Amino acid sequence: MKKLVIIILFVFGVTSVNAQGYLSFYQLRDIIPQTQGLQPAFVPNNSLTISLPGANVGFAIQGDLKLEEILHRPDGQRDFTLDFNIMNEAAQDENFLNLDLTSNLFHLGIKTKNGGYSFFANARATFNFTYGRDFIDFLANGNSNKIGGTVDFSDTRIRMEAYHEVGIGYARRFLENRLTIGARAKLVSGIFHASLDENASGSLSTDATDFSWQIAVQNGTANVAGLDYLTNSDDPAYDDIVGYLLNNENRTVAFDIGAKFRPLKWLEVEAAVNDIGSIEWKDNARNYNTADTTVTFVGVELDGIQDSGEVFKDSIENKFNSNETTLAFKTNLPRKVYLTASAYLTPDDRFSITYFKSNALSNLPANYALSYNHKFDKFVFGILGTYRRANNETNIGANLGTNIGPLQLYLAMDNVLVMNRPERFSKADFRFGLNLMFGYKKWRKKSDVIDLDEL
Amino acid sequence: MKQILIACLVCFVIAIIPSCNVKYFEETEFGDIIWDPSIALPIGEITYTVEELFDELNDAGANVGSNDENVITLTYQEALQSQSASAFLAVLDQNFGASLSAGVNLSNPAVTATISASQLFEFDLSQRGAEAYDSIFFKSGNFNFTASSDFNAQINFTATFISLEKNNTPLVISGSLTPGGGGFNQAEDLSDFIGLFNEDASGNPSSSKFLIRLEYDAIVTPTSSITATDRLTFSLGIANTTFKSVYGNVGNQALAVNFQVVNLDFFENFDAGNIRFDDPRIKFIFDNSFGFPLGINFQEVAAVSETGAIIPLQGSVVNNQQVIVAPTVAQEGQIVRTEIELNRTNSNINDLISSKPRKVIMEVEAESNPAAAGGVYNFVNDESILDVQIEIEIPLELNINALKAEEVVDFGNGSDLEEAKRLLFRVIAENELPLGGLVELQFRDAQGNVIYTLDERAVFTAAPVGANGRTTEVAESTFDILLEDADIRSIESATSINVIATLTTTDAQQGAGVKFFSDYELKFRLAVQADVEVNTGGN
Repeated sequence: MKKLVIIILFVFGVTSVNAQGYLSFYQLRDIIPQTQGLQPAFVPNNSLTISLPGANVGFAIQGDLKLEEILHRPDGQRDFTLDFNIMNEAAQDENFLNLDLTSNLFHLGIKTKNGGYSFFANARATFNFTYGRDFIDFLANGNSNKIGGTVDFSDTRIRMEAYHEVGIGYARRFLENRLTIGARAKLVSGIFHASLDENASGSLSTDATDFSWQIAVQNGTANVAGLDYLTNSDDPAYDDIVGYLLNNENRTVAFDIGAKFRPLKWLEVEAAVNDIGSIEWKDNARNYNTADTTVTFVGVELDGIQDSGEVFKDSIENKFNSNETTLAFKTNLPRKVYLTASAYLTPDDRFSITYFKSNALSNLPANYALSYNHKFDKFVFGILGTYRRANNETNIGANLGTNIGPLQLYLAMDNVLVMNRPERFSKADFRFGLNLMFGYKKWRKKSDVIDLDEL
Repeated sequence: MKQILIACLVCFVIAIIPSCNVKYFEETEFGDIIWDPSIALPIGEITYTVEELFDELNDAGANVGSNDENVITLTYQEALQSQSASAFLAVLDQNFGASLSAGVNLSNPAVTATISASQLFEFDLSQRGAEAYDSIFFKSGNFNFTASSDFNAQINFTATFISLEKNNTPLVISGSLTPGGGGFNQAEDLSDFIGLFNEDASGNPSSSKFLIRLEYDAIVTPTSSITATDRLTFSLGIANTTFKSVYGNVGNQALAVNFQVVNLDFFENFDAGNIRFDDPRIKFIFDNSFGFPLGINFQEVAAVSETGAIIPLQGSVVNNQQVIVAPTVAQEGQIVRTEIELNRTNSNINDLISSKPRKVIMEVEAESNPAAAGGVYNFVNDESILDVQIEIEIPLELNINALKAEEVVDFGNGSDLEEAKRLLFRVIAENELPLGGLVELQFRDAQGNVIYTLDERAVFTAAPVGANGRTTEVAESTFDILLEDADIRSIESATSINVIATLTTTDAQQGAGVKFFSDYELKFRLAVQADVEVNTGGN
């Protein structure tokens, strides 16, 4: 338990920078320096920003099931039930569950004449799971609906990982400030990882006559790293865990790049690609491999059978050629793409449309947001609507960034309505943080100050 | 404009904060995980050879094998009483006696004179009936010789027992008798003596003759006299003998082979319906090391049906005495086997076995040297024995027509059905046997009450039979057993299942007989579609 607490504290200790989608948070842009984690071309308005350790957190979860479909509470009852039938009824052909937890250990932002520098340290954890209708139908109904057919698990993917990163970022304006290009380089250290091979596939066919099973497995490899510290029943020493977390061989260098361009005075377009790089998991790596095979299971020899359950298990297991190795393996970081177009009605009023896509798993769907932001004297406020797919609810979000003295407070949610009967929603997130700002008056709107560049 | 936006923001915040509603989560707890899949699963298969199938029906007693034709054969073997040599033959005690006179008168001779006498005596052994022994090799026994004299003179005598030898030397006893001195007595242990009774006093071959040569000298002194009638009288006795071997003729004696009952448990599985065995056999096996033939008379062979009716064995083999051969002298120590088979050609054995008997009663009498065997030289040694076994062979060449068989099997899986809501068992039979079966399952509680009955249905169908008597193809059949929730609840408390099978062979109604060859197999593949409900709250 101690090890778990240590890791959780380490991962979710302080502030947030990166995000699963955090489309509402994205709209705070240059106001909030941590948005550089989404778009490196954002240049903070203030001269110097220092994050308050422990005061920036982010959480996002989205799936295809509403909370009430997972935690079902039948009418008139007090207890929640986990009912696979309800989940199955609500399932789509492809279903996703994404979880993102981020924290910022440290952020220092320095604005220069033509851009700015940033220094940061973050910790992140993500969980991505995609599954087809066959998978949830199998969980709910078994294989009886597929007698004479095939339950196809090939579109089932799962990936979870955690890592921390330290890096430096730089953004610079060009073309009379119409073009800004930013990049961040970071040293990423993996904490733990678990995933199925990207090409893994499996299926279960049930014969219509004798119900015999034909099980096919291709690329059946599961790679894990660092999980020994979570799952090993031998409680590792505190020093061993901390030593592993701070200094292990699961390292790589990764990059975030982004740009924004204002072709017209009222129009701005942005693009960012984050987490470009890959980790070679060397430390504490394990591979659970099953050779490509198609086996037929017709049951067991019943004559003289004793412990039938054990015999069944052994009979099936023995048909597969499985082994466990400790070879290093490489995974790409879960790359994220943001594309945005913004229209400025006034310098303080902006409408934006944003596209977001993560490739943590190859078939994760994109998210879209339509937002409006207005900049007030001491804060900025915005609302937005987010859209995923036709069968998901459309969410309404809001964001707020304040500038009260040297202290900056911000809060952003993609689905602000989740507070009102959250069981009706399949998405929830929030971003919250506090920064210390110096030179903040420079971004405050001052109508009596003439901007010579605008003349 | 700015005021409007601020107003909108305030309204929005005011609208959101009071609208926080988490009533769904109030006063709740995490309860059950409801998982109620329906799993279609191949359970497995079980293959019975014909031998194994009938082994299942056979609680005890019968051996299930195959005959020369590879037809499965049920065999019951039972050892009837054995007859040992000591129980069969005991040598009678023998007693002989005679006297030998001097034949001369002599009174007060001037000098001491010696009068000698000698005579070979021949005695007939005491025998029963036609017994006639040539020789007996004694293992033990008592021999006693006494002599007395009425001579008024000293008698020095020698008795040579020609018919009793030890180490190729006849037994010789010598002694003296004096006037007024009393008689002479001497005993001998007969261990390792051989009795030779095969020659008479003239040296001619004979039987049961005991020869003694008695010689004596009478010492007549000048002061004594003898008369012609004075004599030496002797007697001998042989008693309590056991033998190593006896040669000659044991005559005609009875050997008891007691009443026996052979339990045929196999047929207890069957109730109503008909079964007809086409080629059953009862074989009596006589292992004989006595050196004489035996005559066998079947006093009683009968089957006792389940109702107690007695069906007697009939036929020529029953009516006529059967002869059991014996080893010759040259084969002494060997066992010679004689088999007497009762089959459909010499008896009504097929009717007897087809009556599904619970028991077969056997009573057999045996006698030595039956007239039908002719004259045979006999011997008996102390290891001679007659073992009698009975072997009932029932080749599965038969006709079964709606024969009901019952078998009660334990059922201890009721508690495992707790989470099952619906079960569809699928049984796929692949049958090479010319035998079809309808099966009814009666689930019983601990008191034996039937609490649920699965109605009779065809579980496996009989394979067709070709001209060569073998089945021509595998008969496949599939049947489903559907148990709804209420059915399963009924079965949960069952402790046993009474399996009632109604069996019918191929073309049984037309009277056709079929053969169950040993390579036939009956395979069952079992699969299940189980609707289960796993409710963690309830467990």
